[in-house]
Amino acid sequence: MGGLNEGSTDDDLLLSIAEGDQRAFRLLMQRHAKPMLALAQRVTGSGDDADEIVQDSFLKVWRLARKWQVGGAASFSTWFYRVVLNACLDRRRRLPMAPLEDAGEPVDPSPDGSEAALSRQRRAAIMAAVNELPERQKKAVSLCYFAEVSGPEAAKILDLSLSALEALLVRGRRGLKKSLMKHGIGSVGDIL
Amino acid sequence: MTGDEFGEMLRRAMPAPDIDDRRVEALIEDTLLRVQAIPQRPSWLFWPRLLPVMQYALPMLVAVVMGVVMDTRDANELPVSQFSTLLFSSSLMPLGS
Repeated sequence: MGGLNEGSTDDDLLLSIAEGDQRAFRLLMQRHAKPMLALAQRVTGSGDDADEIVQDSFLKVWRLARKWQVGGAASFSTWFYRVVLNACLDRRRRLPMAPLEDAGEPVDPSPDGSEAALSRQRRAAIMAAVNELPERQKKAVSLCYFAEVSGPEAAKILDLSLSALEALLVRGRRGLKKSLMKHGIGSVGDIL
Repeated sequence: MTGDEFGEMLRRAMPAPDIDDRRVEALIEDTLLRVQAIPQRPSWLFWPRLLPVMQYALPMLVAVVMGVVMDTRDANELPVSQFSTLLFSSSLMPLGS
């Protein structure tokens, strides 16, 4: 299709992708790859895993483009966030997770500790705590705090009402605080 | 601490990774290469998947058509109900068995 450009909608691109148009596929990837990589990297904690997950998700788009319903219940972006997030959580579930204890002691900001090591320790502690949450809370927390999506958008991605999402977040935050406190991290402030 | 403050602290503790443009471009190129390696199968190649269904459906269809034909030709010679039942039960036997 010659008329495709930066202004084409995702639905237009998907129609062309269904016909095997690789240019449309490239445009779609250019549009969505960055935010998806950011989400996947934050949730999995690994750049390599993030690359693999996002690539597999795009290949799924290529294979399923024929079945895409233009003007369906969800926008492409909403659907794609769902695919990537589920893939990330599947990946975390499959890999043997280090217990929260392995994240180490709460960070001691001593002068000899390098900033990079502290940062890794913080992330590991938080990710281990997030991983201990029930599935739905994990999804809500990951989307609302680790992805650049608004509350209403996150609710759409999770197929929930805004109030249900807020309730999940309240429980998720409570679970996170409890999990972090159990391991001697009094508040999130302690790991900042 | 309010929920918003907690969320904000989480975000600060887990800052958004800096995704390099070159990394994105490399991912796109690699994905396109993988797409090109996927063989394009014409849609008629999917027909063999229907064969297991067709081996039952086809004889049944024939039985129904024959039943209707016989019914219209000579209703007295062989009752349609019997004829159809005979054909229908034979159709339950897959082709080739």
